[in-house]
Amino acid sequence: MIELQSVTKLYGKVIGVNEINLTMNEGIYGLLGPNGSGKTTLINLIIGQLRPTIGRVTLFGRDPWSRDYLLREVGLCPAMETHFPRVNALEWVTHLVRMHGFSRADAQKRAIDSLTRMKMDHAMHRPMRDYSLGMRQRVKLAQAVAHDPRLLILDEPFNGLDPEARFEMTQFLQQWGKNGRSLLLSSHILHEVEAVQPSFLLLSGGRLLASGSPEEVRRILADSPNRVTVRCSDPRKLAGLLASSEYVDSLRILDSQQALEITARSASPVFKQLPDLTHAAGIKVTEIHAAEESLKELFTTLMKQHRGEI
Amino acid sequence: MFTWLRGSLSTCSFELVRSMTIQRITIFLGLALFPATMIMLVTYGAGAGGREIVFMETLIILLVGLVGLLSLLLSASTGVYSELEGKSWVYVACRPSGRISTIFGKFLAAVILSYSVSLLAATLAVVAAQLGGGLPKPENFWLVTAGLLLLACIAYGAMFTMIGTLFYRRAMVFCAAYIIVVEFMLANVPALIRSFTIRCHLQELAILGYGWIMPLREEPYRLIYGEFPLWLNVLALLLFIGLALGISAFFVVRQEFITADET
Repeated sequence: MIELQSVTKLYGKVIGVNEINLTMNEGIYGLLGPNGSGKTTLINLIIGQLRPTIGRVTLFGRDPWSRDYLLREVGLCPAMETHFPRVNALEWVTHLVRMHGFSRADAQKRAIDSLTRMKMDHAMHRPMRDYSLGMRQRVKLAQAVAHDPRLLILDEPFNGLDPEARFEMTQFLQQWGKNGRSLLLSSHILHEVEAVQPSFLLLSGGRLLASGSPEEVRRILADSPNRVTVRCSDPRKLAGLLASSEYVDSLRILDSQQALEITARSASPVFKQLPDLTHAAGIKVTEIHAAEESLKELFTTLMKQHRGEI
Repeated sequence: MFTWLRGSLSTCSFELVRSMTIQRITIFLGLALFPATMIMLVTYGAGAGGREIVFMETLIILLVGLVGLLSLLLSASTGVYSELEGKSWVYVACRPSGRISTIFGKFLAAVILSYSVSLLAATLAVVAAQLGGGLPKPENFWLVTAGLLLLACIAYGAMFTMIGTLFYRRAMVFCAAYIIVVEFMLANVPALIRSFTIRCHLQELAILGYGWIMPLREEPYRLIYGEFPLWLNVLALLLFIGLALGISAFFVVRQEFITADET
């Protein structure tokens, strides 16, 4: 479906994305990366809004930069907020659907269907300036799916959504995937993307650092340096036992919380050792928490691995 | 096959709906009333000397032309930039032929708006002139003016669209500079180069349409007021329009429009 071969995009002297090789077959993908990591640049390259400085991009087997008819099969929900102070959602979505070549009547029908699916039917005749952030996000999604695309690309779709709307969005995206459509979901928050159960693409500093299923990403995380907090009956005793472990860099006893904070060179072997050690010593463990199991920490680790620092 | 055409028509109607704000209607009505107000002031303020027919006709043409240019400057020059500034460019650009549809649709909307305003201005100005003494053949004058305005709006609209696409960050400045340097200065140079301006051909058509008899036919005047046949003037204007829109379309699909938010 999408292929990038040694793609680099430069904005003058600034690197947007750097030497990316990637093949994406039809399916659900989560594009994860901190802000400024090159996610939007990558999306713009895929939909042919940008031309790679070096390398080659293909969408459905063709170059999207020179063949914009491919965009008939793509629905894009950008991260950017747009400003249409007067127009209402129905007018806006109808206009955008008509640009795909539909007749006015057909476009309007699709717009109404799409807005209804996004639960915006009650407000679609109101000017968009009166909408909340969440409502505008739903309208943006409605314009992206109204023409029935094969591939849906969403850039930070959860921004501004309340918990209920987040849940509904997740359900919609899960259903989209179940219907056999493809999805590329960009976000900087891991758990939002995780709920849709995609294959992950991890991007940082314009580089594709890792890719794989959620299990593979978790494995990468477990094998990476990590901080683990163990809440147990005797943290001092556990610290003594772990002090000799070659995988442990440092130990900190958190007396007030009855816990031990372990900074591990690699978390996975520590997790394996813990049950035997605690069982043999009669230490009762109430909680094990990988405190820094966040995307930021993961990216830092991956970046260090990429540079050969670890 | 006709995606770009449908997209252009959609963009045009969307832009026309969007432009129906009280603020914009007030601006356009103000512009439409300007020539009639000036004619009234001249007619009643300048006495008999201000009522000469040729002077009155020339004044109407100049003022209405100015109205047309101003409304085009407001609507046609900022096509690409207004989308970038409003952060709506990516929504239209991610459609098949979306870029071309956007500039052509906005061009059409600008022409319709500007032509409506300038035609209203011409009508009110002719009525004002009639009230103040009268033109010999007001219907004929109005018809020729309406035809010339249509050609002028399309030609200048295409030119402003091209400038607005090539220099989208400073579109209005470049359009104003084009009007001053090319259409006012270059069009008055008594040489062949003036035939590369839109005004030259509109002026020729005006002479033919209004049936003006130029006072002198000697060489210097012939260089300024040439003797191109009607068809050649129309063909030249059509070429200008086609070339300007073609360059706009070529550039808009080849250009990467990047906003800071996208990097």
